[in-house]
Amino acid sequence: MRACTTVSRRDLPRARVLADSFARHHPGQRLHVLVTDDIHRTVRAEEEPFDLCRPDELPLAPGEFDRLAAIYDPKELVTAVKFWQTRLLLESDGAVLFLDSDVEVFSELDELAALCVTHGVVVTPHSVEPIPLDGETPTEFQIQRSGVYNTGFIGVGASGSRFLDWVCERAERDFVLDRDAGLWFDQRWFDFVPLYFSAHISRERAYDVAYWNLHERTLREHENRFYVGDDPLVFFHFSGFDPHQGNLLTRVASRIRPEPGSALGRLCGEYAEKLLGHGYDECMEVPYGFARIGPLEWTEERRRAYRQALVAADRGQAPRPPEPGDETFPDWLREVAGSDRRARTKDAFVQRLARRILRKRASDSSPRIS
Amino acid sequence: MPDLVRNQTPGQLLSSLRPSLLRFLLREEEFVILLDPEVQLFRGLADVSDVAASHEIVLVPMVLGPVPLDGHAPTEPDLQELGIHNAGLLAVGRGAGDFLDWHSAHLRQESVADVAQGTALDQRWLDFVPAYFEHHVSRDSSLGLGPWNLHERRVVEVDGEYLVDGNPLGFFNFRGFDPAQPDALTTHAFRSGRPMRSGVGDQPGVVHLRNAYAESLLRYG
Repeated sequence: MRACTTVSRRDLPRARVLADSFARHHPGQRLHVLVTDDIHRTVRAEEEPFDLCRPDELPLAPGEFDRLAAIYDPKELVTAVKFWQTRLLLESDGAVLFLDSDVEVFSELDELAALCVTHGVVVTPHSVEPIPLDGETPTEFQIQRSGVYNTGFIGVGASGSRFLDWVCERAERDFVLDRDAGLWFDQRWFDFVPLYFSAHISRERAYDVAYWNLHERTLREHENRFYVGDDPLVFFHFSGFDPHQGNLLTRVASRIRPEPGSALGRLCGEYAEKLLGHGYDECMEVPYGFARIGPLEWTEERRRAYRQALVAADRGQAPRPPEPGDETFPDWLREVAGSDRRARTKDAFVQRLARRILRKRASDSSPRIS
Repeated sequence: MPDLVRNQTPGQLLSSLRPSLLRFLLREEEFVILLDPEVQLFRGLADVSDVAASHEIVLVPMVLGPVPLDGHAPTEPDLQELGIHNAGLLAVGRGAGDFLDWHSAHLRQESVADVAQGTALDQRWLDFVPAYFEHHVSRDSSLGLGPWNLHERRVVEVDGEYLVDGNPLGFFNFRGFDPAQPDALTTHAFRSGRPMRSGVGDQPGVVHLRNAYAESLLRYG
């Protein structure tokens, strides 16, 4: 079994905490960590508590990683490239467990690895019971927009290669955050995974414990071990956690708060200390490796423009744009994302307006009964 | 009931009453199969009802396998906007009470504003079923045919009977079908705005099927 995560440099402290926690429960094994943006090779493998993986090791076509780094923002890139990392590790191992970098491991993961071997793919739903309609967040509507399954954990076994083919094909261009198009990084695509690949849906409550499922799970502490109900906690997902706001589990949801003195309060406090101890504040200052291309800053608009050009070329509808490494690339980019800017903003506006009118018409034309 | 009637559109009212109808019928029956009015049935569904009686909820997916990335609609995100399990058929057994309560609570809570935003679709809630409830996902290609899955199925007509991949057609979902333009198969505008996958509705078996359905609709008024 191999366990892995992907980060950009600023999230290295999270990867270090995860690596420590994984090694503690798996003596002799090390987490495999892909760092996406270490272009000047400042990360020193020998000083890190994990096996460092660099993008040039990934089973990607030549030049493809640079294209991915250009079309995706930092978070999108992390969510996309992990699938080639998983594929790489599957070449030499029978089960690969991907964990988001903001996960901490509290028990051994061998049972999950066995499920991967049996089923090919294992996914964890955000929650295994309905979320109460209590006016708090997250709501099921929000969960639905981001995907039923949480991709903070993905387990793949040797028989999951058809799944990897499918997911990598989509990861090449479509793992963006675009709510209007119904895209939410890698995660929304996973709604299809149980359907297409008969993935195992884990309903185990000790896995992927997070703000979106603590309403259905009781976190307890007994003799310095954490439990979910009566079972030892296996892994906790600190999604949205800020170590400088340890009284909040996350800013984006209201339902669960770590009360001082509670098991959750202690868990959050300890995690915050570990993050800070592993250089959280220093790493927050680290600039993103792919923030600029030549003299230009990578803006969202420029990334989208390049992505559109690539997609059009992939479909044979337009000539291939230059490669991000080409000397002509910045000029090309300035041209497509500069001069076209107004026109495209206007297009988007007109489309939004048309959609709104159509929907209004649809709702008006179905008169209420009373 | 008065609140529902006041606050919901006709389409929403229909959706939100379905769980109650199912629960009502389950008092007398071991299982119930709910069909959308835009569905046409071509054979008995004893196979589906057997599964419903033992697995509580039977889901019919919109597609059975990956949708090709060929630049056409519907794309996988297009299907997600509707919900990836087809509410044209919903089969439930006696143990589906928790599911029906949950589904009903969500449908009642939706407002007219949700419809305007395109968020109120009873079908989308079915996507949570595999995570929450005892269920069975049907992988029978003769069920739930519609314009969104004809690319993965072969429909032929033999002496007035339809075969899908060699098996007798179970039901076809004519969602968005307009008998005045049967060639289009559906008038639904998918979110991606891409052209519909061409040719799939032109299989001779499908042409026969849709023309016959258009005629029937007009004949029935």
